[in-house]
Amino acid sequence: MTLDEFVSLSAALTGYPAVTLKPQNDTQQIAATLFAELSLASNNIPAAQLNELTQVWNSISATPPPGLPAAVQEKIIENLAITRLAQNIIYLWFFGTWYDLTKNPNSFTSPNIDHVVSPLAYTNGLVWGEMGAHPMGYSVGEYGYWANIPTLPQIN
Amino acid sequence: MRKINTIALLIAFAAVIVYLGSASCGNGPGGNKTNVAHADSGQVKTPLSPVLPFDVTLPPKGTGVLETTIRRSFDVFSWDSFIAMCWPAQGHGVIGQFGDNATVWETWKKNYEVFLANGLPPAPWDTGLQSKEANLSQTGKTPANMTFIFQPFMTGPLIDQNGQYNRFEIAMNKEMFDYIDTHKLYNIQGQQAFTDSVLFPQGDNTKKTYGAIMVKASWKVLGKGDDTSRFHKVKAIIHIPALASRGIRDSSYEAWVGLVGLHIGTRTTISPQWIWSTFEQVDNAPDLGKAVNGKHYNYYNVAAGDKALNKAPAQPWNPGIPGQVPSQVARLTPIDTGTQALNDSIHKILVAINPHSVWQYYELIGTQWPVHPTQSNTGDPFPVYMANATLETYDQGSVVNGKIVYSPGVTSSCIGCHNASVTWAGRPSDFTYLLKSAQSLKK
Repeated sequence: MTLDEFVSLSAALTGYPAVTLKPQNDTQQIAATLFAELSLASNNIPAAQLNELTQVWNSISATPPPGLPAAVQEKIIENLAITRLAQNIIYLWFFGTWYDLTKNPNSFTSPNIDHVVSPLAYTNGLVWGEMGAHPMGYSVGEYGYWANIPTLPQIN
Repeated sequence: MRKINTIALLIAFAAVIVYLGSASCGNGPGGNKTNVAHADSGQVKTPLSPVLPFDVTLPPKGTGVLETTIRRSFDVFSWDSFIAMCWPAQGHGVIGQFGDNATVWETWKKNYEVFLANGLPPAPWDTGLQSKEANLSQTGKTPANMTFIFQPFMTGPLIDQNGQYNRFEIAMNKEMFDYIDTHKLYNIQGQQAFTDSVLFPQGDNTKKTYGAIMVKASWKVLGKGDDTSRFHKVKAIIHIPALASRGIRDSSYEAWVGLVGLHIGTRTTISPQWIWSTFEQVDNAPDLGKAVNGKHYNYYNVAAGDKALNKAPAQPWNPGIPGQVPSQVARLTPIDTGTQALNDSIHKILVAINPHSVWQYYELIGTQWPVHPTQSNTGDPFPVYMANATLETYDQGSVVNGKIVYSPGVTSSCIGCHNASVTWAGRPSDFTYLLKSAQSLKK
């Protein structure tokens, strides 16, 4: 899988535009950091699984947008051979953490977390924006932002 | 291959000269008088300019690559600013022509001249461009009266190889001073009465207006082992605050100090989160693991090892305590190769003016700017982290198992930290902690 394939697949899995996940002027290199997880030996990703996910994605990536979510659902999410890996990619983007592939994918408790990818990956997790919140102890809001009414992003 | 490389270097060098020359001409010689040094008619010819840039000049939209062309544009802005601000204040030739020179920025208002202890209005801006004797009393990055501000960084004093504390000072240009003066932000009551958002003037290439500029300088007391021909020097009054528990009385003495670090913050239209440029004297500290045997560093002892690397000294902190252990400092993030290439080009120009110019011993460490200024409060700063070894010594990141680890909100980031700055009214103060220096008006 290439970085471009990873980003386009991630866009389909998370619902975020590819340019948001990997901006043209990419200051924090989050996409590259997360992508590196797929080739990290200690993550023990079966090569066959990664190859199949790549092939499946390439076979549906040109699907026009109205039909793309259904194609992703059918070919990836409901494909038991690769759905777990796809799920982990979603976790990567939302939580900046790598979950142990061999453990229960539906439990978010800490024993299932193998490692936090990096401090930047964690603080840039998509979950914070979706919650209208920020990681504990870190915020780019201006002083006094906590007195303002929280706002949630528009979810398409 | 070697020939091709040489030609490429020469072309790059020529391009820098042409660029700097055109940038200077574009601004014209008739800029804001208080931001421009006087020029002698008999000065040597140089592409360097005494005229400050209004704002960064970016490559055409869509053609700029973040890591190369855009970064280069901001680095050129930094060097243009540094050269103009360090230009001879009193009209003696061009920068460095006659060796060291009193600089333009040293004639700007110091923070202690603006925020008076009695909260009264400061004296009017001095347009005389007279160099003033520095009064260096700060022994930390922030003034002693600012310690109550929440600081996420573990700041501490920096002690040189002679056991001397570094001294720091802050200055501002006329645009920044005027804004503070006009809106009466020089005392606590004035800030509390000010209900608008604090927004300092921003430099603008189209309108040809200057923005607010603040400078933070870091100085070392010159002494044993220091090659004084490699420093910009001033004679300063060094203050030692009292520390009753150690029997240390409040005292002062006069000494020569050398400039070792310079932060320049400039508010502009393109970068309303300010452009943050930082320079250092070249002998400060080695890159991590790359110390040169036998070399004298200002803040690194080759024989001492790295056990206490980048660790703040033990408390209590007072420059009057005898026998304090020097800081052992290394730069964790090396200077970007493109930035270093620009440094080399500028140094050649400075040497061409005068082979003994002290300014050839200063290098740009980096420039941080908001890449997407309207996207968030901090505007997505790049580089994400940036530190001056003499001003953010202990916040450069950590070394864990030989690997450098950066932590958001902890590792030094100019914009990230200054985003938390507020006035005495508890409102954002536009990326400067300076306003917290204000005192209560005592009638």
